[in-house]
Amino acid sequence: MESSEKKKSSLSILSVLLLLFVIMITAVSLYSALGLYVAGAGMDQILLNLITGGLGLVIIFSISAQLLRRYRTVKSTEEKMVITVEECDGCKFKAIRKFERGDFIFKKTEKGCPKCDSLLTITAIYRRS
Amino acid sequence: MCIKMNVAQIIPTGEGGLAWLIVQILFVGMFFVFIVYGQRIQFQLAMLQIGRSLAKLQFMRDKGRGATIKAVKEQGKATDPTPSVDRFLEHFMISPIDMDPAGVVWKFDHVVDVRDAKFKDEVKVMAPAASKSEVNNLENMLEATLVLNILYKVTRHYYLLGKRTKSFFIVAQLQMLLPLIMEQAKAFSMSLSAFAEGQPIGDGIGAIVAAELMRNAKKTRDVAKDVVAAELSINGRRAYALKAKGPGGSVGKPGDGLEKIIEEVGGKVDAIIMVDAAVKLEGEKSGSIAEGIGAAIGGIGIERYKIEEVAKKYKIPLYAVVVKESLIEAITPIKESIIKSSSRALEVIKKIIDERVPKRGTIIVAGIGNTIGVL
Repeated sequence: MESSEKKKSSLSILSVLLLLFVIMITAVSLYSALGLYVAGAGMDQILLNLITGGLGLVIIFSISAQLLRRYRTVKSTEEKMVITVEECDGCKFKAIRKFERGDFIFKKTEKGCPKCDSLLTITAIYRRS
Repeated sequence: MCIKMNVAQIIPTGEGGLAWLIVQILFVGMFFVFIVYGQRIQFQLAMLQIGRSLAKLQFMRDKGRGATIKAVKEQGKATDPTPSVDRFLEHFMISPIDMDPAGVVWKFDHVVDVRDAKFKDEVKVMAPAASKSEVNNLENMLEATLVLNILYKVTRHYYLLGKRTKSFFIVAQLQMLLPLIMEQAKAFSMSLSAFAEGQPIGDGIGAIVAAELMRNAKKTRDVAKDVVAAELSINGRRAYALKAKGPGGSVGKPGDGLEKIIEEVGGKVDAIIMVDAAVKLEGEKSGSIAEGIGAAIGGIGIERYKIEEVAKKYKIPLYAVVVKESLIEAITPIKESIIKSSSRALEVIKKIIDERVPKRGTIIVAGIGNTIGVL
């Protein structure tokens, strides 16, 4: 498992390096096209630089989208916070806290209500959307 | 602003130039390459995509296995449960033969009972210090990891088969199914934390509704294996609320429970209302409620068969109330929008009772689903 994680991180580094390289080539090509246009060079020379630059831009967007998608997938699979709602049977006082192991819905807790001293019951446990 | 070196200077351009020649050769070359090797290129691209997904499946399986071993160690105070967990992950069940379908449901019932008993015993051996609820939760966790293992192994099987036979059609079928396989794997992978912690899951919405009704009852009693029921009054009718016994992860045998209650009252039941979670269609809202007719219960069909049989025997109408949710929502910690639909489901149940059940009639409300994290 460790080796697969290492492989994954080295792949990400490789993607970033590749991205930097393509950005460099693209910038040079587009800058050249602009320079040639200003210098009044032939259209074919300008077009060749523009095509190279355009291809570079496509590759940059593609790699960036891939990296972003991977980042979003990692983020979405991260656990979301699960919360417990405790309610007083007497005065309906409500308290919200982080879920703890051993909590279950309709469990009578040993905690007293801060307002009327009746016992609190867990009335809901849910994941925040 | 003058650039001394540019791409156009490196490669001579213009018609007849080197660049023009390269483009022409590439164009004609690619034309032939795609005609001759088009399918092979597609095959390689599909293999690449499947290979990437397979690596993800392996990662999810290994992560699940690791989490399960950790949970068994923590909750069961076991020394090293790794060999037992690995043995469990290779478990299989042979379905009864259905060439002669008469009586196959009872054969299924028996096989599933044996499987459940064996699983429970194995978990008890693996985690000797775990409480009854923890044993149920660990069993759920092991079953989720087992599903991840099967998904990984079956996908790997077809991947390697496609690679060995170089059959584009095997690979294409696998590639088409891949999004659904990955979604299922993601759902089971995300369910592990809920099972380890004993958190209620989306599938438990039926159990939550029944538990809400049971809060008003004086006492509850066991009516079947892992099934509890309570007698109460709803809008002037005598009602029985029924659900799996919590708070450990279990679905119980609601068919047996319903049958027992119906037999106890001599079949004089005016309606059976079943509440369950149902997989929503794409575009439907999570937590939305729908009413229907019939036995609202999933699984392989054993419990549904029992309920339909007893309902038919005493001519009891079956009403279904379902809460819509996705597969991921059904087996991961319950979402706020879904748990809040329990009060709306209760209103629908009361409306059905008012409209369809005579005053002083008798009804059974069955909350179906995994009762993990619910009393």
